[in-house]
Amino acid sequence: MKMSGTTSLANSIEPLQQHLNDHKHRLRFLALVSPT
Amino acid sequence: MNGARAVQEAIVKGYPDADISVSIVWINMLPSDNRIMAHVRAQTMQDPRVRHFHDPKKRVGLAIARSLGGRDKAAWDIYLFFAPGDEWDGGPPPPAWWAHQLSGSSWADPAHYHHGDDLIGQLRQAMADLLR
Repeated sequence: MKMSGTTSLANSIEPLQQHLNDHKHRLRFLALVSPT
Repeated sequence: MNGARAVQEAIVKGYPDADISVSIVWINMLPSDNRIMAHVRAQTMQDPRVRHFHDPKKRVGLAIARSLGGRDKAAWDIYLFFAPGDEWDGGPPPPAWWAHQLSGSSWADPAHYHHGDDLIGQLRQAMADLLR
């Protein structure tokens, strides 16, 4: 489920994998942070 | 130090023209973490290069920790760069650079611990080195 630009990974991390495997950009950065 | 703010200052605002994709995974780690808060926080970091995800079941946290030697642990408050060409295939590729703010962690290498202003400085330096 996508909520106003935030993609849920509740069922699968595939959307993130696809994004990270997209080599359009020179560099890829990932941060895992608590929202509160 | 709020890690998202460090990313905002060091990377998004620090390198406004850099050719980079930024993935922010809001992960449920604290009792107050939820989908609504992830959405609210995502609104504070809007940039065409930034994409937001919500990880309520710690799926990404577990995968990242496992790739860095933390079996059955969930990584969070962690920051990673991936080199061009490295594919996430089955599991995450080894990062080109990474840092965390997990003081006293049982699995995260203390050599990669950077906190507060030090984290901002290290993120800026990593960007400069990797874009060179």
